[in-house]
Parts: sequence; C-alpha cells; structure tokens
Amino acid sequence: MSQKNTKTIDLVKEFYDQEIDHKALENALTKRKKTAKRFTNFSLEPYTGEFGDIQKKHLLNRTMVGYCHRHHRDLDGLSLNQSIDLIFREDTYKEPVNIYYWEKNAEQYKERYESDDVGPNDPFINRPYKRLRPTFEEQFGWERSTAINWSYLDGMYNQNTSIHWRIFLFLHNLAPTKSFELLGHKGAYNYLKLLFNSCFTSYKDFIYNITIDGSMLSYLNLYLSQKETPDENYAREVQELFTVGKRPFAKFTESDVREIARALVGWSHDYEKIVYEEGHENIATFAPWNHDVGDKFFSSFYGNRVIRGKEGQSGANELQEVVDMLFDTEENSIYIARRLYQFFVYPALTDEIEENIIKPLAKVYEDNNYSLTEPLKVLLKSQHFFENQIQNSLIKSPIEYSMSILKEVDLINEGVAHHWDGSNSKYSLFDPEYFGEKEKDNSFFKYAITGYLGGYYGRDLGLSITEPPSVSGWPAFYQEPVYDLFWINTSTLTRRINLVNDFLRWGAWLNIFIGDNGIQRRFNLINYLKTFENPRSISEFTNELVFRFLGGEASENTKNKIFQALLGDLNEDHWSEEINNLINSTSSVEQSYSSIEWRLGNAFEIMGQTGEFHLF
Amino acid sequence: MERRDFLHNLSHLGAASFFAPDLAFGSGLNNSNSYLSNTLSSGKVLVLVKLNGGNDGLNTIVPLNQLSNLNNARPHVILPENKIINLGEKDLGLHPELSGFKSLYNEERLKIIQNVGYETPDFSHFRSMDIWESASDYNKFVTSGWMGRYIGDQHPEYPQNYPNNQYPDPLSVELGSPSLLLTAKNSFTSFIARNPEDFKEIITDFDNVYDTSSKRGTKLDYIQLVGKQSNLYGAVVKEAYESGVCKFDYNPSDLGEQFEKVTKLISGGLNTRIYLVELGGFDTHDTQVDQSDHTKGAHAILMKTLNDTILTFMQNMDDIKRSDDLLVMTYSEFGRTIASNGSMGTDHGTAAPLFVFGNKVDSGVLGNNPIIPSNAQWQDNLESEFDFRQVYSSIMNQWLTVNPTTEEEVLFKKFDQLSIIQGKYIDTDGDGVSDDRDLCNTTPIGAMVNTDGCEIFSLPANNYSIQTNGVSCSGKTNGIITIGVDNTEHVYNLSIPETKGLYILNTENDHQLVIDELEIGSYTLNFRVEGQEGYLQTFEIGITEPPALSAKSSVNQKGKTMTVNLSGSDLYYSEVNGERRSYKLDNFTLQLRPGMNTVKISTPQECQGVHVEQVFISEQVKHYPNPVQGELNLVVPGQDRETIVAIYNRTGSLIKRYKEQIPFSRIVKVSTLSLKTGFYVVKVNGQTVEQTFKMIKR
Repeated sequence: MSQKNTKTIDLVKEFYDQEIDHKALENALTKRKKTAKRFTNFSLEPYTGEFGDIQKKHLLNRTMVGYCHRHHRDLDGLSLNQSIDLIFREDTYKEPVNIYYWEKNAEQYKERYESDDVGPNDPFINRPYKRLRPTFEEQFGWERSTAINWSYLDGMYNQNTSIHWRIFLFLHNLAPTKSFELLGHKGAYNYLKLLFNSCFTSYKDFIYNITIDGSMLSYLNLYLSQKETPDENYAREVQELFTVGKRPFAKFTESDVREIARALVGWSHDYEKIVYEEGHENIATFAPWNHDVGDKFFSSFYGNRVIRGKEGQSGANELQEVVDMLFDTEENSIYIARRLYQFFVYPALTDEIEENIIKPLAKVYEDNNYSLTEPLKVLLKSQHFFENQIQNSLIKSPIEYSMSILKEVDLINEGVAHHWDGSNSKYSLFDPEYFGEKEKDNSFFKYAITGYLGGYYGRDLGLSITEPPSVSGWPAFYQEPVYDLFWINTSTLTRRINLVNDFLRWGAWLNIFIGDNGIQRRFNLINYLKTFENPRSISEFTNELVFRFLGGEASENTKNKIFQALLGDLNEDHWSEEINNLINSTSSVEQSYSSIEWRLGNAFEIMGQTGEFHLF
Repeated sequence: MERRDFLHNLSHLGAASFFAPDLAFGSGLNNSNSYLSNTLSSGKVLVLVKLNGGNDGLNTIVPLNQLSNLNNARPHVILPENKIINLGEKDLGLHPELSGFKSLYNEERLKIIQNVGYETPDFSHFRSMDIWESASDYNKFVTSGWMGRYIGDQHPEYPQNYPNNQYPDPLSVELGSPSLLLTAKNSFTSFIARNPEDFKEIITDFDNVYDTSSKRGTKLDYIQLVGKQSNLYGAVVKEAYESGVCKFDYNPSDLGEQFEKVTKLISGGLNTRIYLVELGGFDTHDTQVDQSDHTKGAHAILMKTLNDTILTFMQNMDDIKRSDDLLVMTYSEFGRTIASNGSMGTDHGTAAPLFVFGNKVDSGVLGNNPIIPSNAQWQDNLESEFDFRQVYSSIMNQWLTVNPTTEEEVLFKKFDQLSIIQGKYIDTDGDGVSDDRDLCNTTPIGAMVNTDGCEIFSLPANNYSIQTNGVSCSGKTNGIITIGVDNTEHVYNLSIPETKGLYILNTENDHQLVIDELEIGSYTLNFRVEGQEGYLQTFEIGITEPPALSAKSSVNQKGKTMTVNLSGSDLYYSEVNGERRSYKLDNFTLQLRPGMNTVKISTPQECQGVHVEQVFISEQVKHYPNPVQGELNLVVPGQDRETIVAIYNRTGSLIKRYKEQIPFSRIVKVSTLSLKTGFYVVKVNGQTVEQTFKMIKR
C-alpha cells in the first residue's frame, strides 16, 4: 500500500512557527478538509491484504443483486483470486413460464384464455395469443407481463454467486427500453435476453445488436424513420448515452447526429410477425427502398470519416461501419470505463480516479475486444476497490435493497403462509390443512411478489426494471453531484421502512390477490435460524444478524438495542432454550416459534430504522 | 393559521384592506367565461410546471403570418388553419386544445413569452434540461438548481435545524422525484409530497453523530436527516393535505393528480412558497399527430391535459381566494425542429414559447413571431429572442422580491428585465404594499406597515415576557404575574382594567414588575409606550386553579424504595406509614419496609388533591439452581414463618402448590422430580413475600 500521499502537516503549528498569511492558511485548511473525504489509494495493482468476512461482503455487495448469507457461504475458504474466478462464471436465465394460471378460477380461465392453451408452469413466449383475442390491451395482457417480470427477478433472486445479473442491471441502465409497452411479450423477452447474453461478450457486439433490437427500434423511433426526413433520436442517444458519452468530453456534432440517422434509416421490424406469430427471434428488418444511399460525412471527432452509401440489402452493412466508427474513438473506451467504475465502485469521479483508474481500465477494455468483464476483474481485485472509504459507502438502489432482504430470509422459496384467526397464529408449517392450495403455492406467490416489486416496492421506491425514467437510465447512476442520494427522499424512505415491516415482520399480504382476509407470507423462521453459526448464543446471533443486514460496523448503542429487542423479557438461557425448541423441533416448537418470531420482528424494525440498513 | 409567522401575517393584513377594492379584474371584458374573484393577499406562491421531453412550440403557439412556410417545413404535423384558435392579436394562434388558455388570456391572466432559449443551444435532453434547471451558460457545468440556490440563500442554515418554529413547513414541495431545480449547493431543498396521505412517523432516533469526513458517514448523516424531515414535514404536510379542499375536479391525468395535491396543500394552509409539478411525454419524435387528423395524437393529448389542468387549478385557487398570490410558469428543455420528420414527428430543436399565469401578470404577448425560412431544412432552428434567465431574473425581481445582490448570486450575472408582473403590483420591499402606493419602499422584512407601506411603530410580540408564577385555589388571593421587557429603551405604561391597576416599567424598576395578591380570573394587560401614540399591545392572561396533583411512581422491590415523579406544585408533602416529610423537588425517593406500605403525597394547595398509594414490598427470594434437576432451593429472608410456593407451566396452568414452614436457615426446599423437562413459572407468596420467577427443568 502506498502511504506516500498521506504525510500530515500541522498547519496550526506552522502558523505559529513562521509567518503565513491568513488567506493561504484558510485555503490550505479547506483543501485539507476536502481531501479528507477522498480516497487515498489509487492503485489497480492486486489487493494483497486480509481477505476476511468484511472484504468478502464488500466484494459480494458490489457484484450480486442483493447480498445475502448464501453467497457469503459460497466464498468460505476461498482466496480473493478464487472468489473472482467463481464470481466471473456465467449464470443462467430461464425462459418465462406460466405462473399466471391462478389468475382466474378454472371456468373463467377457460373462457378468457381459450386461445392461450399454455399449461401451468409451461413456457409461453413462442405461443402468441391468437388473433381472436380482441383488444390491444389483451394482446399485451398483464398476466403474461407479470410472468416475464418474474423471469428476471427469478434470475436475480436465485442467482448463483455470479456477477452476471449485476452486469445485466448495468446494461439495462446504460441502454434501457420500456420494453413492455412496445412490442408485446416476445419483444420484451428478446430485449431482456439480449441484455443477459451480452454480459460476457463484447460490448461492441452488444451495441450492434441493441440497435436493431425490436424494443429499442420502437423506443427510440428508428423503426419509423423515413429516408427523406430521418429521425434523429437513436442517432443521438447511441453516441451520447451508449458509446462515446456526453459533450463536452465527446465532441460529436449535430451534423454527426444527422449523418448517423441517415446511415441507419431503413431498419425496422415486422410488428405483425412479432406479436402474432410463433418464432421470429430475429425480428429486425431492413428495407432498401427506405435507405438513404448517399455518402455520409463525419466531423473531425470521427477523423472526418466517410461511410459510403450502399444500395440494396448491403445498405444494412452501414450499421456495422457506424459501430466500428464509434468504437474507434478513444472516448468510447474512456466513457465505458467511467460507467463501469461509477456503477460498481463509486459514482463521483475525481482527477486522480480519471488518471489512475479510468484510463488504465479503458486500455484493458480496448485490448480485450471491448469486454466488460476483463476490466471489471482488474477493478474488483484492485487495492483501490478494497480501500476503506469505498466499503459501505453507497446507498442501495431499490432492487438491491429489496432483493437483499428477500434473499436473506428466502421468503420466496421457503416462506410459510400465516393467518391470525382472532386468537391464534396459524402457520402452514404446522397446520398445512388450514390453508388453501393457492396460499401454499410458490408460483402463486411469485406472481404476487412480482406485483409488489414492480409497483409499491419498485416504481414507488424509484426503480422498476423495464420502466426507466428516460433513455439515460436512472439519475442515481449518473446525475452529479447527488448520485445515490437520489434513492432516499421523504417519500421513498417511508416506503423502504414499510418494506421491512411487510417482508420481515408481518409478512407479504396476499389478501388483495386472493380475496381472503389477512393471509400473509412470512419467512420460515426455523430454516432461517439454521443458517446461523451459533443461534443459541444470543450475543453471537446478534452480531451475525447485524453483520448480515447492516452496511459496515454498527455502533454499540445500535447493537445493544437490537440485542435488547431480541432478548425482551427472556434471559440468555431462555433464549437458548427457545432456539433449541425450534431447531430440534421439540414439542414446544409452536410456542417458541411465535415467541422468537415476535422478537426477531422487533429487531428487524429497529434495524430498518438505522441508516446503515441502506448502505452497501 | 397559528403555525404561520405572526409578524408576517400582520404585515399583510395591514395591506389587505388596501388591496381589496382594487381587484376589479376583467371589468369591461366579456366575463361569461371568467373565473375571477376578489382575493386577499397572503403568502406568494410560485408553481413551476416542467414539460419534459421538449415541447413543440410551433404547434403550441402558431405564428399565423408564417403558415405557408410552416406548411412547407412541417407537412407531417402542421395544424389545419381552420382549427387553430386565433388569439385575436399579434397574428398568433393557439393549439386547438388550448381554449382555456384563450379565456385566461382574455381575462388578462396569461403572459406568453415567445422564443425563449439560450445562446449555443444543446440538443441533448439531459444537458439542456440541466442548463435550464441550473441556469448555467451553455458551456458551464453547474450542479445545483437556480431555485435550490435561491432557497439556500434565504435559508443558509438549511437543512440542519429545519423545520423549526419559524419555518415549520417545507420550503419547497415537488410532486415527482427530486430534481436538479430544487437542489441547493449542498442539499435538496424540497419535500417530496408524492403520497402526502401516506405519512407515518418512521424514525424516532435522530441523535446519532456520524463521522462526516468519511463518505459512509456523510450518507448516514443524510439518511438520518431525511428521516427527521419525513417525520416533521410529513406530519404538517399530511395535516394540510387532509384539511385542504379541491372544489373543482381535475381531469384524470398524472398532472391533474399532482395539481390536486398542490390545491389541497395550499388550501389546507401549508405555507410553502415553491411547488414543482411535471408533465412528461413531449419528446414527440414520432406520431406527434395522427396521420388522418393533425389535431389529434400524442401532442394534442398533452395540450389538452395542460390546458384543462391549469384552468381547473386557477378555478380552485379562485375558489379559495388565493389566485392573487399565485404565479404559474411552464418550462421545457427546448422546442422542436421547424421541419417535421417522416415519422409524423419533430426532433430536438431550440427556442420555444413559455407561459406565465396569474392574476397579477402583465398579460399579453412578449416578443415577435418567429421567422420561418421559406425552405426550412433539418438544420434550421429558431433563434432565441429572450434568454430563459431573463424570465427567472424577472420573476425573482418582480414576484419573489429578491434583492439584486442575491439575484446575481443565484443567476451568476445580471439579466435585462422583462415585464412579467404588472407595475402596480410590484412590491420591491415585499411588505405587501405595491410600489406605486408604497411611500416607504425599503421597509425591512417582517416589519409591520400601515397602508402607505411605511413601518409603524411596533415591538415584536416576544418583546414581553409574562409569567404567571402563582396559582391559587378558589377563594384565595395568592396569584402572581411577573413581567419583563426585552427592549429597555422605552418607558412602558401598563394598565389592567380588571384590577384598575396602573403600572410603569422603566429604568427605576429595571423594567421588571411583579403583581401579586391576584384572585383566580382573567386579566387584560394593556401596554403602551410613552411617546408612541397609537401603539397598544394587549395580552389576555388567565390565573387559574392549579392543575390536579399528578404523580407517577415506580417501585424498586430490591432496594425497597419508591421513586415518585410529580407535577403541579413547587412543594410536596409525603407521608409514609404515618411519617411526614416535605420536598422542594419534583422527584424523590421514599424508603419503604417489607410488607404493605401506605404512601400519601399532597401539596400546600388543598384543591390539588392527595395521591394515595398502597405498595407491597416483598422480601427478595433467591433461588438456585436454574436450570434445576432435583431440588429447588428458595432463600426467603425476613420474618415470615411460612410461605406458599406455586409452580405453573408456560401456558399458565397450575402444576403444583406447596405450603411450607420456613426453617431457621430460611432455605425452603422444593422437589421438582415430578416435573417434566421444560419451562416453568414459580410464584412464592407470604406475608412480606410476593415474587415470581422463571425456572427451567432439565
């Protein structure tokens, strides 16, 4: 570790030792105050310090969509290099299946979905609704949209300990579309799949593919562009947002925007086929009659390049030439390196970071055929990445916030149904016959939770995937100087705290979906306790709980409050006894269940009100 | 009303009587379509309406004298001439959906400023919106908004120590997500009122001190602050929202919902001055109009939404008599290209018209019709005639009455003024009396003025400190009023009509006065100042019966003590088992004995009552071992001869009960051999013993 820069100067002492003018002293002091918040280590050399639980959590925080103990266990016994190897393995994305079969009771289902003969938990993307579904609204039926939304949430929730889904988020933020409004289910799924399949390939190929992705063609209007008066929308954003960045750094001109619009005119998609027919994964079309066959001339920013106009189907090749031109600029490498750093490490940039981190990373990106993973590997095992200031310094985005909570207690795979019958708590764990099929059905719950994570705990928290506020993604990832503070305001903070109560205490309410009163899905307490190293010791349990949920070291005061909330009127021996009852499933297991669940609920409520709960 | 700054209201009330007869708006006009009414002056409100995406100015306000060139340039989107609403002057027409704008224009409540933009326009949405919201030059990068800087300048201590007594309400409210516009140099200045009904108290522990020299500490500090503001602002916003009214329903739209909230907040008495609402969807690259009917389509829907919402908002503000206090301004990041594109849309352009609404605007059209080239190409764009910061500057100067130094700090330079507010309503010193009537145009902020706008002699209400130190029981005369003043430059005469008493506060008595021997009753204190005729400050003071004695007690069984927390008097008497003592403390600890104790607390004022409590103090029984396998040992101190031991299971059913003699060793042994492994509750009772503990049987 380099310590050269941290020589301390006692300015007050110097002031008395020699004559220094006030102004200079003041300036120096303000400067010192400013630099105090800055990082000290700007080295991309591999980190060789301790790689313990704290460092592992930091690495997982920034590479998973939501940290949880399951990922941490996967790194047990691994070195930093081994961990990086594990994390950079590709993950999987499963095709959406019918989890909406509960939507209507059997008869209504048959009546409404006669044309949709997709069985429960069967894939449906290539089984378009038949034309006999009369209205547009039904053509874009929200029950299928929900099933597609669940498909990527499923990927993130059940992800391997792999960076794959977090790069997916990175790409979605960088090149977002509002996919559902545009091209129906197949269009949305093709877009999502393209993002996923591009995480470990060349970013340059991704830009080629996203340009002619159906939902992007729609989102930025390229599909409507006409050769006499070409539409500039995509031509501008592909430069400004996807490849070379904003002016003044990138100095492309208005004329460059126009010329790219001319080179790309002719690309469109066949809406009818996508929406109404089976197959057609490659849905872009190129119409030579609507292509501008004149030569395109670019400014000095692109080295005065000329793209020769081409007639017939070879006009489609101009797209590759445009992409080549964009990626031949130095600004492209710098811009993408910057975006990677901002998303995975810290959004605010300084000159030192530009010089010592961004530039070398840009080189790695360029030397590896515009790979995103190669520069990330260098970055995520660097000394700079593990410096103290960076750890737990970011506010979780809504998706990281909700996912880390859900995954930690595994509400989705292992949750139990709960109902308060007026005097007793009923759990499907102990009283399975008390509950209906739907209430115990995981597919149904996936359907319900997808609704929560899209709206109340998605959009209203400031982020709902496939609903970007604009084509530049979410401001928290790019808007200086506020950045991640955007996630927290008087409205979202209240909602975030509600989420804790819903998912960790009372359970996710299901009544709005099934019409019954007061049925909730709660996490399985017994299974959850078993994931702790020594739950019988309340102090060890408290420490582990705090480590899992809070970003960084919590104050003694906070820890003590959590400890007291867990203990309540028990003493430490009673706690052990109760935990024993639960883990060994003794005859008192039911009594201990509600007693410990209540205490844990109190502890979660306190944790949810701490600032540390939002940091990662 | 109580929440508002007292002095502030006084100054406006002083002016109100003057304004009222002057509000003959629209007289002489065709008023069949008018929504005007007389209103009283209160806090000025500025509502900013952000049109996201770049509004097509040329299809919003159409220069009718350029129609043929427009037809050539934008055949895909041009509006049919016979559908355009003729403004009636300046060769201008309005989009067919803007009929409400036309009626507001006729009522002299709308100002149209043509060709607003800036030098070297940027065509990026994000950059151009940043320029508009930050009020920066095209080549400067500024990371705060002009409104944020303005608020930050007025409230340099914000956000620490906010809200406070003087400013209990949010300084600005936005209905969308936090914008650059309301970002000050170091913080957001707005409260996000997206769900004002949704409020609940979320965090109660605010006092953590974080190391803000670290990035993590800064974030924690910020989250804590937002939590605190959510609680405090959330409560006042919810209260205002719930007591607010919205008489005229808004057309269903996202913008309508936002304005409904603004309406309720304003009518509910929220004293917030800046609101930001947002309407998106103006980025009409394609299908801006329907191919078959150019008066329909995406842009027409937006125009209708804007038109209906603004009109309803003005109606609602008229209804609650607040439209005089209101200024509404629209803005968008840019206009759109002169030429249309083949996708039935228009691309990113430059200058565009801007609207300002309000009863006091200098209504009409400012600026010239844009000139459309006869053969407009894609690169042709509109020249800007006014810099957008001229509008900001004029609003700050003429509406918000910001002083020129502050204005220049906020906007970084000086800008030529445009006439936005009618001259007669401009109020430079912000005292509520407009300049044309204001004989004293430099009144300090907060000062009370007469109808000429001149400061009248006044002292702040908090100049007087008045305490009723004594309370009295009915029939006695021991009430006391203590009086002091802050400002000791004057001689004060005090009269109290109820006692016919006359007093003086001057240097001889250090401006201090004690009036005693008062009965229960209410007293009027009239303060006059020598040499200031017409000055009178009146307070109503009540001397009441003392409150009933209130006592809270807690018993420490181990220490055999009782601690009492009292209120209602300065002096208290205690009596424990017949032994009396007196205390000049609000809380004290009494020693008790094992067994039953009787405690009485009283005060010198009989009418305050007596607090009587009986407390059982148990001898402290020790027990071991725990967990237990064979015998449970109970050590019972004290003098009792026998004891009862009861064992209950965890559901509360009695399992065993023993009556045992206490031996000389005072150790009672109880067998637990017959108990199953598990968790039990044991109760030990006796004459001086009453204790419960939990026991685990191994």
